[in-house]
Amino acid sequence: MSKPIPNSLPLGNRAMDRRRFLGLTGGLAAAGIVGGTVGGLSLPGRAAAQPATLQSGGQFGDPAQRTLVVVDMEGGNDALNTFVPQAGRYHDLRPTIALPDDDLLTFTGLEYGVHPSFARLQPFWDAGQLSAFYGIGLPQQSRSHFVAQDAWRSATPGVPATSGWLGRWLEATVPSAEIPLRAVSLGRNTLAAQGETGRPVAVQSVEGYQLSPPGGNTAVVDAMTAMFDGAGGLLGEAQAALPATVESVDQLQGIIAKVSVDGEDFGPDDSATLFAAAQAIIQADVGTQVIYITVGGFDTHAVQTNIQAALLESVADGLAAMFDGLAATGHADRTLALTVSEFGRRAAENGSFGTDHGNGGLAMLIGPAIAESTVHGGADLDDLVDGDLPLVLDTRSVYDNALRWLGGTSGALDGDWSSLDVLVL
Amino acid sequence: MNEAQALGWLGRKIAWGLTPAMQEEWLALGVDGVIDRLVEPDAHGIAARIDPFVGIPVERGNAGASIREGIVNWLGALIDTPRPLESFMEFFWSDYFAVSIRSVRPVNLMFDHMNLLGRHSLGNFRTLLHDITIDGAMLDFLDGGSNRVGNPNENYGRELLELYSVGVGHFTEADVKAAAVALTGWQLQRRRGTVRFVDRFHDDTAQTVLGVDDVHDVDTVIDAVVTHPATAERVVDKLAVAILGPGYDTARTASLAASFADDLELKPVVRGLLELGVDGAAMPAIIEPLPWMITAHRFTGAPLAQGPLRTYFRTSGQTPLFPPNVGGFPDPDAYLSSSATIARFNLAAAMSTRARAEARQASRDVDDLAHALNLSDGFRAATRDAIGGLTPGPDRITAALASPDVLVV
Repeated sequence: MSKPIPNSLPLGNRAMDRRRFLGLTGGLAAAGIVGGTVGGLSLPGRAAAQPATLQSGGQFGDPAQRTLVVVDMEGGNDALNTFVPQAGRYHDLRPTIALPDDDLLTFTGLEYGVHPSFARLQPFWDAGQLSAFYGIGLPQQSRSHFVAQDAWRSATPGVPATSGWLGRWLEATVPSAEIPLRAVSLGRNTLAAQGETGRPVAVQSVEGYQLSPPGGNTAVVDAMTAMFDGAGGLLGEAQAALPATVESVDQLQGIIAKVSVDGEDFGPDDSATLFAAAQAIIQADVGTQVIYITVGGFDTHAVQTNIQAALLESVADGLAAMFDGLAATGHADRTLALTVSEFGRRAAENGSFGTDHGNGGLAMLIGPAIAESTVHGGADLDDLVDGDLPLVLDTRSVYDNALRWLGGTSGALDGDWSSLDVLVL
Repeated sequence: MNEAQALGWLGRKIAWGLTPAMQEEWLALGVDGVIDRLVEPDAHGIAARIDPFVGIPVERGNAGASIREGIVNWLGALIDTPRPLESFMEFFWSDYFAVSIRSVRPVNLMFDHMNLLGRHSLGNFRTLLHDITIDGAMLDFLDGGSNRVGNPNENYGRELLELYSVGVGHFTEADVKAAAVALTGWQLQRRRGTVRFVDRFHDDTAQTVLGVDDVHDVDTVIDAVVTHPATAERVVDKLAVAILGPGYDTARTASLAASFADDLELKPVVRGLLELGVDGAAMPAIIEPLPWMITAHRFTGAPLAQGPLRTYFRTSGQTPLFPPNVGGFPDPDAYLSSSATIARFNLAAAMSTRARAEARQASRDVDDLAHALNLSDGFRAATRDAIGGLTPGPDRITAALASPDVLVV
């Protein structure tokens, strides 16, 4: 049940003086949060996800108690092999990497076949909780990873990126009481959650998130927090990072300590670990509103079939396991997930059983607050632009929904992008 | 900068810390002597770079063991090097031409890649770019090895233009495609871990790249990109950011950029940047996790244990040979993150308990600690007081190493 593109979609003619998200004081650190409220942590890979029962409008609680989980599929996910057009030139364009029709999942009423790695997302579709956005991007969408990533993460295309769309929202909506874990990036730092001055708590690796002074002497930790003397510039930022870190450890250590860690020896945590950490943070009820997970590897120029299958499965299974765990503790209703990727890939395959950088990407919103399962925009293979899927949706119209979930855009997006409303709030 | 400040800056920024023996040596050489020895180690009779990967078994199906050994050996070579500027540059190029060992097989291709960067670290940029373009690890990482006539793979061609030479704004999509066509034919022989050119996979049709006609092979592609003025400007900018720090005064580097454009020789421009640095042109910058780790090791002399190192790098977000993507590691400011702060603190604590006698001795006096860490102006008052309130030994060593004073240079 793909929707036609509304003509009014805003993509042109189709075509603290040092305010931080982190507090610098220990105000909330002792609020009975550390260790003990993580009950019900469910690790990925167990039961199939059971989407939460959709509650009627207005039942998702206070926006301040809601969480947005963004999954950034870095590298440019191949949209055409994720939601596969059932008509048109698909098999002609991709003689070796087209997914066989028989392998594709059939989502009720959907005109696209779905990658088999998305099996655990099917219950969300069936429950009316998955909205996809196809042919999505930004004006002057670039085929450069870095230009496109900056544009997607800043939502200020064509302007040098100095802050992220979520970072600006976080800075525009600072609550009266400081919430040290209001924004957490998992797996990697991200521009998206960085404000003009503030940074989210960044968890590069779940297992290492604790301070281990020599001999367990906490006086050494205290000494680090006493090195702040109000210096300006970079030194001041380096000084401020110490007490901010100590506070975030106080808050976060007990929450993620129970997450089992997996990943390559020297490499980063795998995505199952990151989704489990996200779940634990939401279940801890510490006021986290934004969680940003970065999963790399989607730059599939060669032999992409198995690589993409594994990556899509890690995202789908991670999301499903996270919602499954959240449903068990009553947190699923307060959670909305958004997947993004900086661009789609070329419609035709290259000579390496892969695809080069293209346009017309794919994003998804998943959660009980979605009005209905549907695909907005679309992928018309008979209307390619320079070999790419055309852009038919502006990324900011999806961001607008994500920010309304959190209570309103608060000026974080330049312009009015509210015409595409996919939520029941 | 006075002499002590200049030596301190060179010692911290370029050499990543000086052992007590190096400190004495540098003091005797003076600033000009140090710079000359850094840039011209051959002329000073310094032992040549060794291959840190020699003898590592590369077993099919057990890449993990080879990778672990390779990383630890490479770190050991960076620490022990008598050529610290070459190590600095080797690390710089490993970020500039970011290749992740995760996706390079067999892993000896990655070891060859690192040795190539080491050999050319202060050589000629055109030679380096040429050799990198047909380097096995790069052919694997950016798919040049499957770039064939009739159906080119654009991956390397795009990054050659965007990341390795002219940069965004100076090339078109047509340039990307043309460069990819001209670079067809280079093949990886995975079983042997070698590279060869296969004529029948090569498209020799004349292409136009960056306005240069008759581009049809690796030599003509490299000529087209290195003769474009944006390439020299971009390389000098990257070098200046690495050496002088972000926000440096471009007016002071303009003449270096102009002369670099003439011959693409790296030694003169790097020497010029070092001279600018000691002349006060350096801006504050965060020391990245790998150089910070070496600084901590040089000071403490603590043995490098694989477990703590692995945790350190994973937590800090900068695992050597595992850049997150083709763009390399994030800008140094990213390492102000809570994760990276934790990583530094914990590694400092782990090393402090195994610190050598000189480091423990220095910890008895906070000013001696500052001197041993090459902080020519000492710690700031707040840091000094905070460290001074702790017991000499591991506690003070940890606090000093993890201090903002050491992190920002």
